[in-house]
Amino acid sequence: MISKEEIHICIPAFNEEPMIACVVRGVVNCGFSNVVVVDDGSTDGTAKRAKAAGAKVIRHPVNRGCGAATQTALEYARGRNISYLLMMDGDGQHDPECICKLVKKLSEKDVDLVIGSRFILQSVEMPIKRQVYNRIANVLTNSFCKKNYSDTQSGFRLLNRHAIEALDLHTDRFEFCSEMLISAEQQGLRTCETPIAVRYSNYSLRKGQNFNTGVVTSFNLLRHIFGRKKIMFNGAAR
Amino acid sequence: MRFRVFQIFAPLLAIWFIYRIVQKFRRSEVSCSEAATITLFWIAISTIAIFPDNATRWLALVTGIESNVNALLFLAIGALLFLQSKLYFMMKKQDSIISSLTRRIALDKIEESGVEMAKDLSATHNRP
Repeated sequence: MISKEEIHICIPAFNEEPMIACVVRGVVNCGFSNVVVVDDGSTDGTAKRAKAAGAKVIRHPVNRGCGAATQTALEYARGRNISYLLMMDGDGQHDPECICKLVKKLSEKDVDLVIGSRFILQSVEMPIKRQVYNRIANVLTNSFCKKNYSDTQSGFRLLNRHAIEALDLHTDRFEFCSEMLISAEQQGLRTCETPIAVRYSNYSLRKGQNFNTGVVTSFNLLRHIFGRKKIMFNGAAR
Repeated sequence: MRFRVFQIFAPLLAIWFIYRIVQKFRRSEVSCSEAATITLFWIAISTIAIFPDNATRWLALVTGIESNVNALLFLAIGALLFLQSKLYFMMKKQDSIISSLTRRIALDKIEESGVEMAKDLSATHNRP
């Protein structure tokens, strides 16, 4: 049985001053005391608010992207021998109550990486544009994966020690979501998805990717994949 | 042989740049290969400027392109694209290095603050 003390919650954040304290307190109120916020060069009071709310803050001196913040979180976890690392967004989109669902899934299925999927539950109210962008991202990512993931862009993920050690990420921006899944499969990690609820507000809808960033993300992902020596399609090397 | 303005201007400019690069090489500001490449480049520019028809005709013969003007243009475009792609990959590498450094700085700060906190705690405990 995985105890809450073993799980470190990591929240990459960039200019999330309005929401970060609420997110951190929400996680702490669910019984998770190990909260780390990776402040990716925020120009507002994100770090201060996160610290005041009870999180440990790792501060990037300059903004490098959520992929870079995730890599920092992974390196932090490796250095501290952290057994379980949960990644979640800092915009209040993810319900901390769903952390237990991911933990339960990780234990039950004995996997290395659990992805919280917004699309398994049909009742998720997501703007149509976002749904379309996510579907396109799914098609692109799944073409390089063995499995068919329903939500490749979800930032709500739980990793065990094996995944923390094995994952080899290089991308700095939003393309890390896809890269993590592709890398996980290439490293032989066992992955699965579990349904989660999401809360969209005007604030969180302003965050995340739009069409332009989606195009750039896709390009960066393809450039990263084809820039490597071995190209994998549907998990098979060519 | 009547010289046009660019046939005087281009070689003079080339001489100036070659002089500058030799000075930089003597001050060890550029490597031998860099100095040689830049010198050859400006010699080529001067040659094309002084003998535009013959030089470009030779270029067209070597590349197999019928028109000497097109040969020069394609070569110039090819060279620019090559340099552009080189710069692009250099930029991406620098990007990656900056991210690594940012990470290192952030994690080192956490380590330092952890050590300081531990020192403060032990100082508090050791107080009589």
